[in-house]
Amino acid sequence: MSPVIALEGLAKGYDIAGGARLTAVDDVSLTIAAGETYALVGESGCGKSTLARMAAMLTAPDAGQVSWSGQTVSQQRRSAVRAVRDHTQFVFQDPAAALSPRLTVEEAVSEPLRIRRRTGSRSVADLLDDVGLDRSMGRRYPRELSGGQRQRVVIARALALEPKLLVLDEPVASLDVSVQAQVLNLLADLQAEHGLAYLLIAHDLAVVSSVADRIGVMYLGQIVEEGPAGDVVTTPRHPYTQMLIASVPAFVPGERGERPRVVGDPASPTERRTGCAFATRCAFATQVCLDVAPPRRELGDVAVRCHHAS
Amino acid sequence: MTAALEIDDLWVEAGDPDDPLVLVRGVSLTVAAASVVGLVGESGSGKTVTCMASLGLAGRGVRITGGSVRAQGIELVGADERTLMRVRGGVVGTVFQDPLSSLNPLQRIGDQIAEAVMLHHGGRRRSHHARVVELLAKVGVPAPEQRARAYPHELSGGLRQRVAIAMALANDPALLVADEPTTALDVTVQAQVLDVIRSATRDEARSALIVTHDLGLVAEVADRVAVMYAGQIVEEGPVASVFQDPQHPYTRGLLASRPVLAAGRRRLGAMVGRPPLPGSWPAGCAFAPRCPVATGACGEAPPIRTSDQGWSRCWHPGSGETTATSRAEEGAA
Ligand SMILES: Nc1ncnc2c1ncn2[C@@H]1O[C@H](COP(=O)(O)OP(=O)(O)OP(=O)(O)O)[C@@H](O)[C@H]1O
Ligand SMILES: Nc1ncnc2c1ncn2[C@@H]1O[C@H](COP(=O)(O)OP(=O)(O)OP(=O)(O)O)[C@@H](O)[C@H]1O
Ligand code: SF4
Ligand SMILES: [Mg+2]
Ligand SMILES: [Mg+2]
Repeated sequence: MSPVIALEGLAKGYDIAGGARLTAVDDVSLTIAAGETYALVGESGCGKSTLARMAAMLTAPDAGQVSWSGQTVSQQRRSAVRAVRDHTQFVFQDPAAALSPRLTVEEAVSEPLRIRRRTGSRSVADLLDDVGLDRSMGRRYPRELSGGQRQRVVIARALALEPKLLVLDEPVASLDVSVQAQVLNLLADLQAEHGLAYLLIAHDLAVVSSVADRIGVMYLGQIVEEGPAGDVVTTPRHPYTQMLIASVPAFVPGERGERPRVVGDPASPTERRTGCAFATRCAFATQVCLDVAPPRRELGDVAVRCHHAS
Repeated sequence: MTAALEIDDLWVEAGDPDDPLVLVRGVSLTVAAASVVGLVGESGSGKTVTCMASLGLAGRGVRITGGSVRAQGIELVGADERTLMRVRGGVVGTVFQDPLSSLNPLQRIGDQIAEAVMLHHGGRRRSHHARVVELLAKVGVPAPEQRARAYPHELSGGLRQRVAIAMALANDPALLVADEPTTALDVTVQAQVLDVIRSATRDEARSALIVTHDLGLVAEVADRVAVMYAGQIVEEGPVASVFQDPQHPYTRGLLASRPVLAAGRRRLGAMVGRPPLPGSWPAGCAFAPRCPVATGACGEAPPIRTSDQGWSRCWHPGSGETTATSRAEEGAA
């Protein structure tokens, strides 16, 4: 199956206060096929959103390429960039910020079509139905909605343009469990129905394990482990993935506060470093880890950047 | 000992006073000194409205129509803005669902924290620099000296939430009110923010009311839990007993819909339907249309049953089996 989107060697850095240079994304490659969910997991600030913005061509990479349906998209061709932007819709972690307080639900959902003077194949009422919202909510304003209701509005609006790729940046993080389950099931249905490719950014590994086909684990701008979701959650190879899996609350009633402690913080993304970025927190680090950046290695279906993973 | 927070029969409504939309109906909740209470429930159940209205932060058109709220003994319902200002950021520190809403995008975060300290302690911004760095370090912000000079947009979501917590702790409040404090954070940061909250509460004898959908968080940091549905609390009790032996069918549904870490794509066990909107709450037990054990009796407002050290609002409280039995009995009758 040819991928909907392929990212190759993407990199992005920022100049920050004090003259330092911050590496947000460092040599990331991945592909996502139609109907596939690729989940990116990793700590706050590791570069997930920056990567997603580059995929959608909202941020220009310093290096690397973005291809859609096998065709490299030139950053210079405005019309090509605009087409990619239309093919990619975002659902963010914060639905409150994504919706204008002055637009009703109906206006918000039809806004993308109105701006492009297009008519969609689905009416606003259909779109609200799709996301399980009562049609009577159409006349409400965002402030009159709860968080879960707002997120459905955002999803309905994203679907209006009939995108090929949905970037789901923490789409259910602000929702409670039963609504989380419904939205995730809803997203799976919409994916099956429309053959959507999903780039899912999520921190909740329990959630990720139940919806993703592939998982990429990011640490300080790099993908340190990638493979089929089942392999990554059941036999994590990279010490960082192992730490993430260990942080998932066991949630056994009465076993309060018994989860293993997370060691240290990520190194600063502005630091120049040699060797493995995770070495400062890694229980298995040896001299080679401090001296040499671990290359990407294939271990069966899984690719890992670690000297000692096996 | 004075409770840190005592909400007593709080009623909140919005819209036209002649045809009001009731959002919160008769919520009573106590956060005892040095104790942590988790408030959970589905989206739209009224958790945020309860907290915001209690602290005098209800939005435009939202008003308290009954009840009382006391923070460290100070009555907040009907209090003037000066009293409320003194309480908020002084006696009570707040962390909201969206950290950006409590941060000014145009100001360096260090200056914002310094101003929160100044508000209650006076002095100059610069004289609080050490305190600012101490607060940032306390909530686990790496390189705090350097980060104090950053603007909110330069920080990732996780760092912003820590900054928001640092601001809430600026004046060493007796009570921390946190609305979804770990929402949208990745697991390792959640684990660390949990440690921050735990040390800011347990270790410093500070009370907290934590609004969250994350039952795992409640299991780890809270002493008691209150479960909210359709503007009411439907179950309240010590965390261990509520989680091990939930009395209300809604609590059981919530506990069952948590995804688990396992291999393979799968559908999640979602509870049927969605919570009713304010204005269309069913008469009697509002959960009845979604409840797997509802009977005809549930068309009437359920009684409050106390159990152990907690209580629930249900005609058929107790384990699923007992309830099935009581339904069979009712059917036979
Ligand atoms: N416009 C910017 N200027 C300076 N630094 C930036 C900018 N945007 C992002 N960064 C930095 O780049 C790094 C990656 O940020 P990014 O938002 O991609 O992380 P993330 O993985 O999405 O984090 P989170 O899970 O918290 O959303 C962070 O260190 C962030 O502070
Ligand atoms: N100003 C308002 N006017 C009318 N209805 C409102 C207003 N503010 C909130 N509501 C409604 O009150 C209900 C409770 O909202 P609230 O924000 O307290 O929910 P919540 O329990 O915090 O949900 P979430 O978990 O999604 O944050 C929602 O149905 C919401 O639509
Ligand atoms: S390369 Fe070394 S330091 Fe890095 S994760 Fe592997 S063992 Fe740890
Ligand atoms: Mg992000
Ligand atoms: Mg809320």
